[in-house]
This record gives sequence, C-alpha cells and structure tokens, in this order.
Amino acid sequence: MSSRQPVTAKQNVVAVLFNLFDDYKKTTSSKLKIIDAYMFYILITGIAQFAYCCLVGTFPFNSFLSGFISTVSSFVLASCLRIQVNDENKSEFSHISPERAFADFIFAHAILHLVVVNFLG
Amino acid sequence: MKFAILLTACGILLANAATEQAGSKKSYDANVLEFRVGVLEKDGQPDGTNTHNVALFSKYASVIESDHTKRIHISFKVQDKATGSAVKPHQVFVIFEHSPSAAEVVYVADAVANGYTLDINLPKSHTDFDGLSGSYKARLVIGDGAIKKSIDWHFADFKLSVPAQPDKPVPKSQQIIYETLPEIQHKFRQPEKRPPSFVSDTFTIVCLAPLALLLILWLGIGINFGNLPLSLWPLLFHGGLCGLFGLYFVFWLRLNMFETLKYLALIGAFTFIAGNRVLRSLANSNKLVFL
Repeated sequence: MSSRQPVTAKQNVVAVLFNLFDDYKKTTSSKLKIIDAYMFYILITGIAQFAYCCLVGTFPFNSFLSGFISTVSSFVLASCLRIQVNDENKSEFSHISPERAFADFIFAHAILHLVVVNFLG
Repeated sequence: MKFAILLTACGILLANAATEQAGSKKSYDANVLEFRVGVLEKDGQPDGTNTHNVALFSKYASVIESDHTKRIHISFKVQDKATGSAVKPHQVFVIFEHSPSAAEVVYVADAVANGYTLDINLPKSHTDFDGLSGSYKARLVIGDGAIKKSIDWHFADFKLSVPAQPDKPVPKSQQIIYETLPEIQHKFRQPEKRPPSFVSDTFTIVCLAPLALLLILWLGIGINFGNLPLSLWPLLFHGGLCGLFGLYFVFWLRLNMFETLKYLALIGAFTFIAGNRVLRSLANSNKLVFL
C-alpha cells in the first residue's frame, strides 16, 4: 500500500485524498494497479447487482444470489492474489511465487464459477 | 341403534353359551314381581305416590309423560316362579321404542341387592334418545338360557319430550356421494411478476458497463504483453481458459452437471498443463509483470 505522508491539520479532506491518490499512482507497482482496477470493476458490478436487487426485486433469487456470490468471491480471491503478489508481503509469502499465486487464483475461479453457473439455474 | 344390535349379538352369544350349560342347570319359569315405574323429579326419591305398580304382562293404563328435566325410575324383582327365590338372568333390558320411527333405545337394568333397578337421569342422558320426542313403547326383556320362556313385555307407553339434537355433521370420510365430482383442473404455478424488460435490460448494461471501465483502467495503467514467452503455450493456456468459461456458458444453457464434468476434465487438464508450462517459464525468467 501507499506510504502516508504526514498531513497538517489545515489540509482539507479533498486534498488528503488527492495526495493519497497521487502517492498511490507513484508508489504502487503496475502489477498491483491492474489487480486494483480489477477489484474496482468487481466492486462496481456488485454494487450494480445489489442496487437492482433493492430497486426491482429479487425475483429470480438464485440468479441474483449466484451473480452476487460470483462478484463477492471474485473480490475476495482478487484480494488474496493481491496480498500474495505484493512485494511488501514478500517476507510472509516467500514460499509462494507470484506465478503460483496466479495459478491458485485461476484454479479457484474455475471451481467457483462451476458452482456459480450450476446455481444460476 | 348400533348399541342395540351389539347388545342383541352379545345376547345371542350369551344365550348360546348358557344353553350349553343348561343341561346341567335346572330350567325355570321367571316371574317379575313388584314392578314399579314412574317419573321422578331431578333429585326425588321413589315412593308409593310417584311410581306405579304394574302387574306382569299387563300394561300401565295411562301414558307416562316426562320431559328432559326428570328421571325415569323402574324397579322390579325377578324370581323363579316355582321356588320363589331371586334369580339373576343373563339379559335384563328395558327398551324404549319410538313409535313412529321404530328407533330403539336399550338400557341394561342394574342388578342391586334385592332385584333390579333402572334410573334414567334424563337431564344427563337425554342424548340417548337422539332428540326424538314423542311416544315411546317401553318393553322389559328378560332372557336366559335356563328360562323356559323368555319375557318380552310391553309394560307402558311413554310420552317423552327431549330437546332436539343439533344435526351432527357427517365427516367427509363417511359421506357417500354418488354424484360425479367436479373435474380437477390442474393449476400451473403462476409466474411471478417480472420487471418490465426495459428495466432489466438497463441493469444488464449497468452491470456490464464496469467491464469497459476495467479495460479503460487497464489500458491507462498499461498492460504489458511483451513479457509473454514466445511460444505456443500462452496461446493454448488462454484458449483453455476461454474454453473453460465457454463450457460453463453452455452448461448454463443446456448441459447437465455430469456432461459438464466430463468435458471439464478434458479442458481442465489441458489448461492445467498449458498454464503450468507458461507460469513455469515465467517464473524461470523471474520477471512476471503481467500475464
């Protein structure tokens, strides 16, 4: 993650966020940025699904549920991948190479979506 | 009525049993003495004024009237006519027979120390009469295998008024219906209300839109394809992955789980080998930036 710069009390929240974002852009490796973009995409999709459920209804409930399970689980798997390939966590996951983590990610996705499609109805 | 039939059946059985014993037992003529019948108040006691003596095989002259707040009291003794000793025949019944409908109500006389008594507490047991008011013939029936000639004596006429019984609903399982029943029409489950297709289409687009956002973000970050090792394996690996998810799509549309697992084993094994090759070569070159 990005290392925080010390902020003075006078800086407003927007400036803090901009600072944070700039810092993120500078210090995060593009590998992680790609994963972050993917997670952001999943998050937005999940929010859209949930909004549909709240606004319109849950009628094909298993469809809604399987879609939502798919997004939530994909998000969790992506976050696991992100933790494992992050250079800052190298000490904890020294025995897991990034390739191994990516293979796990793919394998988990294959299993997950078999279940999701089976439940989709 | 059922009760009466049951009792008659029991009586026949008992009579047969008694007849078998009768060979060893001396048969006799029964005599009924001190027969008194009357109607008492709810907690009255029988005395000479409220019960009337009736001689055997005669009939009480007037009609005895009673309503459901009173008690019918009957007492008598049964003796062996020859010896004058008290006997206890097998069957001692008092039967009330409703005159118009011939419905019978049967009571068993209670044997007491000196003879028989029957006390019908109408406030409680008027339901025995099934709400049938009107005139009843009262009969005393005495039977036994050892009695030479059984007694069936119409001793009085009654006029009873009992509250009408509410019609008991016949349980549906006991009803006999001969008419054809209405045809059973199968009702399919009504489909649930769906949102208008405009709404669902819009949300389909809303759910797919982040995919475009993802591509834009990835392009902005810059995807590095240059790292791919130059061989056929990456192509096969990605082809395998696409095949995997294509298979899931077909599974969703038409396949069942068993067929899917069969194909999945093939595609999965292929993708696994391909992925293994690709990732191993990347790990060896040790510079994975993006696959």
